[in-house]
Amino acid sequence: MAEETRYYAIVRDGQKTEDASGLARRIYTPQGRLDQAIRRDLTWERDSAIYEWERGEELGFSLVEISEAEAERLIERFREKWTEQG
Amino acid sequence: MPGLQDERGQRELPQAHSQDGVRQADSPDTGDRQVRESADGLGRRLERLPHGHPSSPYHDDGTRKPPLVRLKNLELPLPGEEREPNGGTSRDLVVSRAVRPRADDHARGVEAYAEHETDPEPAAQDWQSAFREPDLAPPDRTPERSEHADRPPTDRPSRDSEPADSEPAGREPAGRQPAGREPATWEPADREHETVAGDPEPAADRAADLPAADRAADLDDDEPATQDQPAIIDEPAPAPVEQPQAKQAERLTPEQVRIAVRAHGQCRLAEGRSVFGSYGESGLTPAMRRIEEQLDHGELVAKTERYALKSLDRFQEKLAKLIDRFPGTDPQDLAEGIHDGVRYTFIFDAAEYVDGITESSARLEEYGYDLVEMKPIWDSDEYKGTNSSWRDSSGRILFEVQWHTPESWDAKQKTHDAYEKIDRTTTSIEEVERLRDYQRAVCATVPVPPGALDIRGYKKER
Repeated sequence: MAEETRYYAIVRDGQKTEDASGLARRIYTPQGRLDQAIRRDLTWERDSAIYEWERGEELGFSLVEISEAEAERLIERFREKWTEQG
Repeated sequence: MPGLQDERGQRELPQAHSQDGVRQADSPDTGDRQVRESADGLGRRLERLPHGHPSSPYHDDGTRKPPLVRLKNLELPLPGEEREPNGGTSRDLVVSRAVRPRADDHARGVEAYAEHETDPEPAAQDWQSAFREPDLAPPDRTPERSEHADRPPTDRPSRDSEPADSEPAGREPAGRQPAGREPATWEPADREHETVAGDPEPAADRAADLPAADRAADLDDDEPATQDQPAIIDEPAPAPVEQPQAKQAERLTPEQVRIAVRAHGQCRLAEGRSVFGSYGESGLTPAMRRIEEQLDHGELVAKTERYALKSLDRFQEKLAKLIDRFPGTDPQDLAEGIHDGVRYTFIFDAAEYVDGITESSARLEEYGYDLVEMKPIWDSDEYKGTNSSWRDSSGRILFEVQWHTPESWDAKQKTHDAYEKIDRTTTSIEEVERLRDYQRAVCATVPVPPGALDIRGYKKER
Protein backbone atom coordinates (compact mmCIF):
# COMPACT_ATOMS: atom_id res chain seq x y z
CA MET A 1 0.00 0.00 0.00
CA ALA A 2 1.50 3.29 -1.06
CA GLU A 3 2.13 5.81 1.62
CA GLU A 4 1.01 9.32 1.09
CA THR A 5 3.59 12.06 1.04
CA ARG A 6 2.99 15.77 1.10
CA TYR A 7 5.54 18.43 0.36
CA TYR A 8 5.80 21.89 1.81
CA ALA A 9 7.93 24.82 0.82
CA ILE A 10 9.30 26.49 3.94
CA VAL A 11 9.03 30.20 3.41
CA ARG A 12 10.68 32.64 5.72
CA ASP A 13 9.01 35.95 6.37
CA GLY A 14 9.19 38.21 3.38
CA GLN A 15 9.82 35.46 0.88
CA LYS A 16 7.71 34.17 -1.96
CA THR A 17 7.02 30.51 -2.41
CA GLU A 18 9.31 30.27 -5.40
CA ASP A 19 12.08 31.70 -3.27
CA ALA A 20 11.53 29.24 -0.46
CA SER A 21 14.49 28.67 1.79
CA GLY A 22 13.66 25.14 2.76
CA LEU A 23 11.61 22.12 1.85
CA ALA A 24 9.77 19.75 4.15
CA ARG A 25 7.72 16.65 3.56
CA ARG A 26 5.35 14.54 5.57
CA ILE A 27 5.06 10.85 4.99
CA TYR A 28 2.06 9.06 6.38
CA THR A 29 3.41 5.78 7.61
CA PRO A 30 1.62 2.99 9.43
CA GLN A 31 3.35 4.16 12.59
CA GLY A 32 2.38 7.79 12.21
CA ARG A 33 3.51 10.96 10.53
CA LEU A 34 7.14 11.14 9.57
CA ASP A 35 8.26 14.73 9.08
CA GLN A 36 11.47 15.52 7.29
CA ALA A 37 13.28 18.43 5.69
CA ILE A 38 15.87 18.60 2.98
CA ARG A 39 19.43 19.21 4.09
CA ARG A 40 22.35 20.84 2.39
CA ASP A 41 23.57 17.50 1.07
CA LEU A 42 20.08 17.01 -0.43
CA THR A 43 19.19 14.16 1.85
CA TRP A 44 16.05 14.06 3.94
CA GLU A 45 16.28 14.13 7.69
CA ARG A 46 13.82 14.32 10.52
CA ASP A 47 12.70 17.87 11.18
CA SER A 48 9.91 19.36 13.24
CA ALA A 49 9.08 22.29 10.95
CA ILE A 50 5.67 20.90 9.94
CA TYR A 51 4.76 20.09 13.50
CA GLU A 52 5.86 23.53 14.69
CA TRP A 53 3.70 25.12 12.05
CA GLU A 54 0.68 22.99 12.87
CA ARG A 55 1.03 23.67 16.55
CA GLY A 56 1.12 27.31 15.67
CA GLU A 57 3.46 28.60 18.30
CA GLU A 58 6.45 29.32 16.11
CA LEU A 59 6.70 32.56 14.23
CA GLY A 60 8.86 33.69 11.38
CA PHE A 61 8.13 31.13 8.71
CA SER A 62 5.25 29.67 6.81
CA LEU A 63 4.59 26.41 5.03
CA VAL A 64 3.02 26.23 1.62
CA GLU A 65 1.97 22.88 0.26
CA ILE A 66 3.42 22.11 -3.14
CA SER A 67 3.26 19.18 -5.49
CA GLU A 68 5.98 16.60 -5.78
CA ALA A 69 6.96 18.02 -9.17
CA GLU A 70 7.33 21.45 -7.63
CA ALA A 71 9.32 19.91 -4.83
CA GLU A 72 11.67 18.37 -7.37
CA ARG A 73 12.14 21.71 -9.08
CA LEU A 74 12.82 23.33 -5.75
CA ILE A 75 15.42 20.70 -4.96
CA GLU A 76 17.07 21.32 -8.28
CA ARG A 77 17.20 25.01 -7.53
CA PHE A 78 18.70 24.26 -4.14
CA ARG A 79 21.27 22.03 -5.80
CA GLU A 80 22.37 24.81 -8.11
CA LYS A 81 22.33 27.48 -5.46
CA TRP A 82 24.11 25.53 -2.81
CA THR A 83 26.69 24.26 -5.24
CA GLU A 84 27.49 27.83 -6.13
CA GLN A 85 27.78 28.70 -2.48
CA GLY A 86 30.20 25.87 -2.00
CA MET B 1 14.99 13.32 -6.17
CA PRO B 2 17.22 12.39 -3.36
CA GLY B 3 16.61 9.17 -1.63
CA LEU B 4 15.51 9.00 1.89
CA GLN B 5 18.34 8.85 4.30
CA ASP B 6 16.86 8.77 7.69
CA GLU B 7 18.88 9.78 10.63
CA ARG B 8 22.24 10.20 9.12
CA GLY B 9 24.76 9.15 11.62
CA GLN B 10 24.14 8.60 15.23
CA ARG B 11 24.82 11.28 17.71
CA GLU B 12 27.98 10.85 19.61
CA LEU B 13 27.69 9.86 23.17
CA PRO B 14 29.15 12.27 25.64
CA GLN B 15 32.82 11.61 25.96
CA ALA B 16 34.83 12.44 28.95
CA HIS B 17 37.61 14.79 28.24
CA SER B 18 38.85 17.80 29.97
CA GLN B 19 37.31 21.16 29.45
CA ASP B 20 38.83 23.56 27.08
CA GLY B 21 39.90 26.75 28.59
CA VAL B 22 41.49 25.39 31.71
CA ARG B 23 44.69 27.26 31.75
CA GLN B 24 47.74 27.03 33.85
CA ALA B 25 48.77 30.23 35.43
CA ASP B 26 52.28 31.37 35.92
CA SER B 27 53.08 30.58 39.46
CA PRO B 28 55.94 30.71 41.85
CA ASP B 29 58.07 27.63 42.20
CA THR B 30 56.30 26.43 45.24
CA GLY B 31 52.96 26.37 43.58
CA ASP B 32 53.80 25.41 40.03
CA ARG B 33 53.32 21.70 40.36
CA GLN B 34 50.21 22.12 42.42
CA VAL B 35 48.74 24.46 39.89
CA ARG B 36 49.55 22.09 37.05
CA GLU B 37 48.02 19.18 38.89
CA SER B 38 45.06 21.28 39.77
CA ALA B 39 44.51 22.21 36.16
CA ASP B 40 44.92 18.63 35.03
CA GLY B 41 42.52 17.39 37.60
CA LEU B 42 39.94 20.08 37.15
CA GLY B 43 38.58 18.58 33.99
CA ARG B 44 38.31 15.19 35.63
CA ARG B 45 36.56 16.64 38.62
CA LEU B 46 34.14 18.49 36.40
CA GLU B 47 33.37 15.25 34.59
CA ARG B 48 32.43 13.66 37.89
CA LEU B 49 29.96 16.35 38.83
CA PRO B 50 26.31 15.37 38.67
CA HIS B 51 24.80 16.05 35.30
CA GLY B 52 23.04 19.35 35.36
CA HIS B 53 25.38 20.85 37.91
CA PRO B 54 26.25 24.39 36.80
CA SER B 55 29.88 23.45 36.40
CA SER B 56 29.28 20.05 34.87
CA PRO B 57 30.10 19.76 31.18
CA TYR B 58 26.86 17.87 30.75
CA HIS B 59 23.23 18.88 30.73
CA ASP B 60 21.08 17.12 33.24
CA ASP B 61 19.89 14.80 30.49
CA GLY B 62 23.40 13.59 29.93
CA THR B 63 24.15 15.49 26.77
CA ARG B 64 27.32 17.51 26.55
CA LYS B 65 26.98 21.24 26.80
CA PRO B 66 28.10 23.37 23.86
CA PRO B 67 31.66 24.61 23.82
CA LEU B 68 32.53 27.14 26.43
CA VAL B 69 32.21 30.71 25.37
CA ARG B 70 35.16 32.86 26.15
CA LEU B 71 34.40 36.04 27.95
CA LYS B 72 36.09 38.02 25.27
CA ASN B 73 33.29 37.00 22.93
CA LEU B 74 30.77 38.61 25.16
CA GLU B 75 30.12 42.24 25.62
CA LEU B 76 31.55 43.23 22.29
CA PRO B 77 30.40 46.75 21.75
CA LEU B 78 28.66 47.42 18.50
CA PRO B 79 29.38 50.46 16.41
CA GLY B 80 27.94 53.42 18.20
CA GLU B 81 27.95 51.70 21.55
CA GLU B 82 29.87 52.68 24.59
CA ARG B 83 31.27 50.37 27.14
CA GLU B 84 29.83 50.98 30.54
CA PRO B 85 31.77 50.89 33.73
CA ASN B 86 30.12 47.64 34.70
CA GLY B 87 31.44 45.96 31.63
CA GLY B 88 28.22 46.06 29.71
CA THR B 89 27.56 48.18 26.72
CA SER B 90 25.01 50.84 26.23
CA ARG B 91 23.45 51.33 22.88
CA ASP B 92 22.94 54.78 21.58
CA LEU B 93 21.58 56.13 24.79
CA VAL B 94 20.38 59.32 23.23
CA VAL B 95 18.04 57.54 20.90
CA SER B 96 17.03 55.00 23.46
CA ARG B 97 16.05 57.52 26.06
CA ALA B 98 14.33 59.65 23.54
CA VAL B 99 11.84 57.07 22.50
CA ARG B 100 11.18 55.26 25.71
CA PRO B 101 9.00 56.50 28.50
CA ARG B 102 11.03 57.12 31.59
CA ALA B 103 9.22 56.30 34.70
CA ASP B 104 11.23 58.62 36.86
CA ASP B 105 13.36 55.97 38.38
CA HIS B 106 12.77 52.43 39.36
CA ALA B 107 15.93 52.61 41.38
CA ARG B 108 15.90 48.98 42.15
CA GLY B 109 19.52 48.93 42.97
CA VAL B 110 21.14 45.58 42.94
CA GLU B 111 18.32 43.20 43.53
CA ALA B 112 18.67 39.50 43.30
CA TYR B 113 17.64 38.72 39.79
CA ALA B 114 16.95 35.04 40.05
CA GLU B 115 14.65 35.37 42.99
CA HIS B 116 13.05 38.50 41.76
CA GLU B 117 9.66 39.19 43.15
CA THR B 118 7.92 42.00 41.46
CA ASP B 119 8.07 45.07 43.56
CA PRO B 120 7.92 47.79 41.03
CA GLU B 121 7.76 51.35 42.10
CA PRO B 122 4.84 53.21 40.65
CA ALA B 123 5.53 55.02 37.47
CA ALA B 124 5.95 58.72 37.78
CA GLN B 125 2.89 60.70 36.98
CA ASP B 126 4.78 62.91 34.62
CA TRP B 127 6.85 60.38 32.77
CA GLN B 128 5.28 61.49 29.56
CA SER B 129 7.03 64.84 29.86
CA ALA B 130 10.35 63.14 29.29
CA PHE B 131 8.98 60.99 26.55
CA ARG B 132 9.37 62.05 23.01
CA GLU B 133 6.47 60.59 21.17
CA PRO B 134 7.84 57.83 19.02
CA ASP B 135 7.03 57.53 15.42
CA LEU B 136 3.73 55.76 15.64
CA ALA B 137 2.91 55.74 12.01
CA PRO B 138 0.29 53.08 11.59
CA PRO B 139 1.90 49.87 10.52
CA ASP B 140 1.03 48.29 7.31
CA ARG B 141 -1.88 46.05 8.18
CA THR B 142 -1.83 44.18 4.93
CA PRO B 143 -1.49 40.54 5.74
CA GLU B 144 1.14 38.43 4.14
CA ARG B 145 -0.76 35.87 2.20
CA SER B 146 0.89 32.68 1.33
CA GLU B 147 0.06 30.95 -1.84
CA HIS B 148 -2.10 27.95 -1.50
CA ALA B 149 -0.98 25.04 -3.54
CA ASP B 150 -3.86 22.73 -4.07
CA ARG B 151 -2.12 19.88 -5.73
CA PRO B 152 -1.84 16.87 -3.55
CA PRO B 153 1.04 14.70 -4.58
CA THR B 154 0.18 11.30 -5.83
CA ASP B 155 3.49 9.68 -6.48
CA ARG B 156 5.15 7.73 -3.85
CA PRO B 157 8.57 9.01 -2.96
CA SER B 158 11.57 6.79 -2.87
CA ARG B 159 12.20 5.68 0.62
CA ASP B 160 14.33 3.10 2.16
CA SER B 161 13.55 3.00 5.79
CA GLU B 162 9.86 2.57 6.22
CA PRO B 163 7.78 -0.52 5.57
CA ALA B 164 5.78 -0.19 2.42
CA ASP B 165 3.45 -3.12 2.63
CA SER B 166 1.14 -1.88 5.28
CA GLU B 167 -1.65 0.57 5.45
CA PRO B 168 -0.52 4.15 5.90
CA ALA B 169 -1.84 6.00 8.83
CA GLY B 170 -5.04 7.52 7.63
CA ARG B 171 -4.69 10.60 9.69
CA GLU B 172 -5.01 13.97 8.23
CA PRO B 173 -2.68 16.60 9.48
CA ALA B 174 -4.01 18.32 12.53
CA GLY B 175 -6.70 20.87 12.04
CA ARG B 176 -4.05 23.41 11.24
CA GLN B 177 -3.06 22.45 7.74
CA PRO B 178 0.04 24.32 6.73
CA ALA B 179 -1.09 25.41 3.32
CA GLY B 180 -4.64 25.98 4.37
CA ARG B 181 -3.95 28.55 6.98
CA GLU B 182 -5.42 31.84 6.03
CA PRO B 183 -3.54 34.65 7.61
CA ALA B 184 -5.79 37.31 8.92
CA THR B 185 -5.14 40.88 9.69
CA TRP B 186 -4.52 42.37 13.07
CA GLU B 187 -7.03 45.09 13.50
CA PRO B 188 -7.59 45.79 17.15
CA ALA B 189 -10.02 48.58 16.46
CA ASP B 190 -12.30 46.29 14.55
CA ARG B 191 -12.29 43.45 16.98
CA GLU B 192 -15.65 42.36 18.16
CA HIS B 193 -15.98 41.53 21.77
CA GLU B 194 -18.22 38.59 21.84
CA THR B 195 -19.61 37.43 25.06
CA VAL B 196 -19.01 33.76 24.63
CA ALA B 197 -16.71 32.17 22.16
CA GLY B 198 -15.50 29.17 23.99
CA ASP B 199 -17.02 26.07 25.33
CA PRO B 200 -15.03 25.40 28.40
CA GLU B 201 -14.74 21.86 29.41
CA PRO B 202 -14.09 20.90 32.96
CA ALA B 203 -10.52 19.94 33.52
CA ALA B 204 -10.54 16.24 33.92
CA ASP B 205 -8.43 14.46 36.38
CA ARG B 206 -6.05 13.25 33.77
CA ALA B 207 -2.98 12.53 35.80
CA ALA B 208 -3.38 8.83 35.36
CA ASP B 209 -3.50 9.27 31.63
CA LEU B 210 -0.33 11.24 31.32
CA PRO B 211 2.95 9.95 30.08
CA ALA B 212 5.32 9.42 32.94
CA ALA B 213 7.48 12.34 31.94
CA ASP B 214 4.50 14.60 31.86
CA ARG B 215 3.26 13.49 35.22
CA ALA B 216 6.62 14.54 36.49
CA ALA B 217 6.20 17.82 34.73
CA ASP B 218 2.93 18.30 36.50
CA LEU B 219 4.71 18.23 39.78
CA ASP B 220 6.69 21.26 38.70
CA ASP B 221 3.77 23.40 37.82
CA ASP B 222 5.03 26.17 39.97
CA GLU B 223 8.09 26.46 37.80
CA PRO B 224 7.31 28.11 34.53
CA ALA B 225 8.66 26.45 31.46
CA THR B 226 8.97 28.64 28.47
CA GLN B 227 8.76 27.36 24.96
CA ASP B 228 12.24 26.10 24.80
CA GLN B 229 13.78 26.82 28.12
CA PRO B 230 12.79 24.25 30.67
CA ALA B 231 11.85 25.01 34.18
CA ILE B 232 14.70 25.20 36.61
CA ILE B 233 14.45 22.39 39.07
CA ASP B 234 16.70 21.61 41.92
CA GLU B 235 16.40 17.89 41.87
CA PRO B 236 18.64 15.98 39.54
CA ALA B 237 16.99 14.57 36.50
CA PRO B 238 16.80 10.83 36.00
CA ALA B 239 19.32 9.20 33.74
CA PRO B 240 18.56 9.82 30.09
CA VAL B 241 17.01 6.98 28.18
CA GLU B 242 17.81 8.33 24.78
CA GLN B 243 20.06 10.76 23.04
CA PRO B 244 18.24 14.01 22.50
CA GLN B 245 19.35 16.46 19.91
CA ALA B 246 20.83 18.90 22.34
CA LYS B 247 24.11 18.19 20.63
CA GLN B 248 22.92 20.11 17.62
CA ALA B 249 24.74 23.14 18.87
CA GLU B 250 28.00 21.24 18.80
CA ARG B 251 27.73 21.06 15.05
CA LEU B 252 28.07 24.80 14.79
CA THR B 253 31.29 25.95 13.23
CA PRO B 254 33.44 28.36 15.20
CA GLU B 255 32.19 31.17 13.03
CA GLN B 256 28.60 30.13 13.63
CA VAL B 257 29.26 30.01 17.35
CA ARG B 258 30.58 33.54 17.16
CA ILE B 259 27.46 34.60 15.30
CA ALA B 260 25.27 32.99 17.94
CA VAL B 261 27.20 34.50 20.80
CA ARG B 262 27.10 37.93 19.30
CA ALA B 263 23.38 37.76 18.49
CA HIS B 264 22.65 36.41 21.93
CA GLY B 265 24.78 39.14 23.44
CA GLN B 266 22.68 41.74 21.69
CA CYS B 267 19.56 40.09 23.07
CA ARG B 268 21.08 40.20 26.51
CA LEU B 269 21.91 43.86 26.20
CA ALA B 270 18.44 44.63 24.93
CA GLU B 271 16.85 42.67 27.74
CA GLY B 272 18.34 45.08 30.21
CA ARG B 273 19.92 43.03 32.96
CA SER B 274 23.40 44.05 33.94
CA VAL B 275 26.22 41.63 34.47
CA PHE B 276 25.49 41.93 38.18
CA GLY B 277 21.94 40.73 37.70
CA SER B 278 20.27 44.02 38.38
CA TYR B 279 18.13 46.24 36.22
CA GLY B 280 18.28 49.92 35.62
CA GLU B 281 15.87 51.96 33.65
CA SER B 282 16.71 50.90 30.16
CA GLY B 283 16.05 47.62 28.51
CA LEU B 284 13.07 45.56 27.55
CA THR B 285 12.37 43.95 30.88
CA PRO B 286 12.12 47.20 32.84
CA ALA B 287 9.90 48.51 30.07
CA MET B 288 7.67 45.45 30.31
CA ARG B 289 7.36 45.97 34.02
CA ARG B 290 6.36 49.57 33.44
CA ILE B 291 3.80 48.47 30.90
CA GLU B 292 2.50 45.92 33.37
CA GLU B 293 2.02 48.65 35.93
CA GLN B 294 -0.02 50.66 33.50
CA LEU B 295 -2.41 47.89 32.59
CA ASP B 296 -5.91 47.86 33.98
CA HIS B 297 -5.82 44.09 34.21
CA GLY B 298 -3.37 41.31 33.79
CA GLU B 299 0.23 40.84 34.68
CA LEU B 300 3.46 39.35 33.53
CA VAL B 301 3.94 35.73 34.47
CA ALA B 302 5.83 34.94 37.62
CA LYS B 303 9.60 34.93 37.38
CA THR B 304 9.54 36.89 34.19
CA GLU B 305 13.08 38.10 34.74
CA ARG B 306 14.35 34.57 35.10
CA TYR B 307 13.04 33.50 31.74
CA ALA B 308 13.14 36.70 29.75
CA LEU B 309 16.44 35.86 28.12
CA LYS B 310 16.84 32.60 26.28
CA SER B 311 19.90 30.77 27.46
CA LEU B 312 22.90 30.81 25.18
CA ASP B 313 22.75 27.02 24.93
CA ARG B 314 19.20 27.12 23.69
CA PHE B 315 19.95 30.01 21.40
CA GLN B 316 22.75 28.03 19.80
CA GLU B 317 20.57 24.95 19.50
CA LYS B 318 17.91 26.96 17.78
CA LEU B 319 20.41 28.49 15.39
CA ALA B 320 21.77 25.03 14.61
CA LYS B 321 18.27 23.81 13.84
CA LEU B 322 17.60 26.76 11.58
CA ILE B 323 20.89 26.28 9.75
CA ASP B 324 19.89 22.69 9.09
CA ARG B 325 16.45 23.72 7.94
CA PHE B 326 17.55 26.64 5.79
CA PRO B 327 20.89 25.47 4.41
CA GLY B 328 21.37 28.28 1.90
CA THR B 329 20.54 31.12 4.25
CA ASP B 330 23.20 33.25 5.84
CA PRO B 331 23.55 32.11 9.47
CA GLN B 332 23.86 35.73 10.49
CA ASP B 333 20.45 36.38 9.00
CA LEU B 334 19.04 33.34 10.75
CA ALA B 335 20.46 34.39 14.09
CA GLU B 336 19.05 37.87 13.78
CA GLY B 337 15.70 36.37 12.86
CA ILE B 338 15.38 34.40 16.08
CA HIS B 339 12.45 36.23 17.54
CA ASP B 340 12.38 34.76 21.02
CA GLY B 341 15.87 35.41 22.27
CA VAL B 342 14.01 37.71 24.65
CA ARG B 343 10.43 36.85 25.51
CA TYR B 344 7.61 37.91 27.79
CA THR B 345 4.22 36.53 28.68
CA PHE B 346 1.23 38.47 29.90
CA ILE B 347 -1.58 36.68 31.67
CA PHE B 348 -5.13 37.94 31.56
CA ASP B 349 -8.26 36.38 32.90
CA ALA B 350 -10.54 35.22 30.14
CA ALA B 351 -12.95 38.09 30.60
CA GLU B 352 -10.20 40.65 30.05
CA TYR B 353 -8.11 38.67 27.62
CA VAL B 354 -9.00 40.36 24.35
CA ASP B 355 -9.02 43.83 25.83
CA GLY B 356 -5.76 43.01 27.55
CA ILE B 357 -4.08 42.22 24.26
CA THR B 358 -5.38 45.42 22.76
CA GLU B 359 -4.24 47.52 25.69
CA SER B 360 -0.83 45.96 26.10
CA SER B 361 -0.19 46.10 22.36
CA ALA B 362 -1.02 49.78 22.39
CA ARG B 363 1.40 50.29 25.25
CA LEU B 364 4.12 48.42 23.44
CA GLU B 365 3.66 50.67 20.43
CA GLU B 366 3.71 53.72 22.65
CA TYR B 367 7.07 52.59 23.89
CA GLY B 368 8.33 52.60 20.34
CA TYR B 369 8.21 48.88 19.69
CA ASP B 370 7.16 47.76 16.29
CA LEU B 371 4.78 44.87 15.81
CA VAL B 372 6.20 42.35 13.37
CA GLU B 373 3.74 39.52 13.71
CA MET B 374 0.63 38.79 15.70
CA LYS B 375 -0.56 35.21 15.70
CA PRO B 376 -3.67 34.19 17.60
CA ILE B 377 -3.52 30.45 18.11
CA TRP B 378 -6.84 29.67 19.69
CA ASP B 379 -7.93 27.53 16.79
CA SER B 380 -5.04 25.12 17.22
CA ASP B 381 -5.81 21.92 19.02
CA GLU B 382 -2.27 21.55 20.35
CA TYR B 383 -1.59 25.01 21.68
CA LYS B 384 -3.69 27.85 22.99
CA GLY B 385 -2.63 31.44 23.24
CA THR B 386 -1.58 34.44 21.20
CA ASN B 387 2.03 34.91 20.21
CA SER B 388 3.63 37.94 18.70
CA SER B 389 7.00 39.24 17.73
CA TRP B 390 8.15 42.81 18.04
CA ARG B 391 11.17 44.79 17.04
CA ASP B 392 12.74 46.96 19.68
CA SER B 393 13.13 50.66 19.21
CA SER B 394 16.66 50.25 17.93
CA GLY B 395 15.25 48.19 15.09
CA ARG B 396 17.84 45.50 15.65
CA ILE B 397 16.37 43.13 18.18
CA LEU B 398 13.32 40.97 17.83
CA PHE B 399 11.54 39.89 20.96
CA GLU B 400 8.46 37.85 21.66
CA VAL B 401 5.34 38.64 23.62
CA GLN B 402 2.79 35.97 24.41
CA TRP B 403 -0.64 36.43 25.86
CA HIS B 404 -2.28 33.68 27.85
CA THR B 405 -5.10 33.06 30.20
CA PRO B 406 -4.22 31.25 33.42
CA GLU B 407 -5.64 28.11 31.88
CA SER B 408 -3.76 28.31 28.60
CA TRP B 409 -0.55 29.12 30.46
CA ASP B 410 -1.08 26.12 32.65
CA ALA B 411 -1.63 23.95 29.59
CA LYS B 412 1.56 25.29 28.07
CA GLN B 413 3.47 24.33 31.17
CA LYS B 414 1.95 20.89 31.29
CA THR B 415 2.71 20.16 27.67
CA HIS B 416 6.16 21.65 27.66
CA ASP B 417 7.98 18.39 28.08
CA ALA B 418 5.88 16.81 25.36
CA TYR B 419 6.66 19.72 23.07
CA GLU B 420 10.36 19.33 23.63
CA LYS B 421 10.26 15.62 23.11
CA ILE B 422 8.28 15.92 19.90
CA ASP B 423 10.84 18.42 18.69
CA ARG B 424 13.62 15.91 19.10
CA THR B 425 14.45 13.98 15.99
CA THR B 426 15.32 10.98 18.10
CA THR B 427 11.78 10.53 19.36
CA SER B 428 10.05 7.69 17.57
CA ILE B 429 7.14 8.40 15.29
CA GLU B 430 4.81 6.41 17.49
CA GLU B 431 5.88 8.39 20.53
CA VAL B 432 5.39 11.65 18.67
CA GLU B 433 1.84 10.67 17.82
CA ARG B 434 1.16 9.72 21.41
CA LEU B 435 2.59 12.98 22.71
CA ARG B 436 0.58 14.99 20.23
CA ASP B 437 -2.56 13.20 21.36
CA TYR B 438 -1.65 14.14 24.90
CA GLN B 439 -1.18 17.78 23.92
CA ARG B 440 -4.58 17.78 22.30
CA ALA B 441 -6.14 16.29 25.40
CA VAL B 442 -4.63 18.97 27.60
CA CYS B 443 -5.51 21.81 25.28
CA ALA B 444 -9.09 20.56 24.94
CA THR B 445 -9.61 21.54 28.57
CA VAL B 446 -8.61 25.16 28.00
CA PRO B 447 -11.58 27.50 27.76
CA VAL B 448 -11.42 29.87 24.83
CA PRO B 449 -11.77 33.44 26.08
CA PRO B 450 -14.66 35.48 24.74
CA GLY B 451 -13.69 37.01 21.43
CA ALA B 452 -10.37 35.20 21.20
CA LEU B 453 -11.31 33.40 18.01
CA ASP B 454 -11.94 36.78 16.41
CA ILE B 455 -8.52 38.16 17.13
CA ARG B 456 -7.00 38.86 13.81
CA GLY B 457 -3.47 37.97 12.96
CA TYR B 458 -1.02 40.39 11.51
CA LYS B 459 2.24 40.07 9.71
CA LYS B 460 4.27 43.07 8.77
CA GLU B 461 5.40 43.20 5.19
CA ARG B 462 9.14 43.18 4.86
